[in-house]
Amino acid sequence: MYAELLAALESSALGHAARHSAWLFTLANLLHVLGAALLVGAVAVFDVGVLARRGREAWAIAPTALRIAAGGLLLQIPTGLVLLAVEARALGQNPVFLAKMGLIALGLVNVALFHRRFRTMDDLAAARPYAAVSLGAWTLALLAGRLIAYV
Amino acid sequence: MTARPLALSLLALCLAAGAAAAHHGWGAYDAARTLRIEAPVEALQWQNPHVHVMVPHEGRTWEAVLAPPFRMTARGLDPEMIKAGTRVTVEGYPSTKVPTELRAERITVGGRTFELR
Repeated sequence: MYAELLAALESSALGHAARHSAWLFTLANLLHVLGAALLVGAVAVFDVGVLARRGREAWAIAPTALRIAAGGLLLQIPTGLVLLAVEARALGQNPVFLAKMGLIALGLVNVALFHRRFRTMDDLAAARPYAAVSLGAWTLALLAGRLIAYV
Repeated sequence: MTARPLALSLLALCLAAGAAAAHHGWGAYDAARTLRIEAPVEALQWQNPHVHVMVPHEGRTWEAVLAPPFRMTARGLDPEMIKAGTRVTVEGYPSTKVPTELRAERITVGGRTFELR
């Protein structure tokens, strides 16, 4: 099922265009780096705020950080799909790619749990473990992304 | 929160994928050994992430990995210059994983050498 999905993506029009258009692939590559910088940077600003100041200032910058992080993630999904479509069958089975997807899943579950539990700034000190998991998961996801090309 | 089911399904997808098949990355080439192949191109694949040419060498077809199309063009190469039948010299490092694969550092065609790194 997963293998068929990868094969379908690779042989799709998107896969074909990504392989044969120098500009599409290059642009996706560039924007994927920008998206990663925005996402991990914004996440780090909030998480370090929670960890270092126990939440007070972090809560104030949260709306901005969240918007930038969400913008980064929105950039990552289409550009990542283009990069994957180029060699979906091989990349989709790459152990580092799989680890990256796992880390992204961990980051998303973590942020969902965080937002469900913390709605006010009162008990944000208890949010430190979430901030630590978030910082670790997103940073490692970024590093894994870069490592895919070397494995 | 809609992120949670999405994340869980992503995780499930990863687990379902099971053991990963080996795919050779940029590190899997033996830079201590340089190999030079001078031969006519059997086939050309001008595509991302890297352009490939198939060349015969010692009775077998070798796959030489060149540069991304964007860089190939920037260095002055185009698909017409290295199409099938063209005599080329590729020089580079053999793969440590695939016995007939080479990461080309440079390619010479029509008396001109193009650096690929």
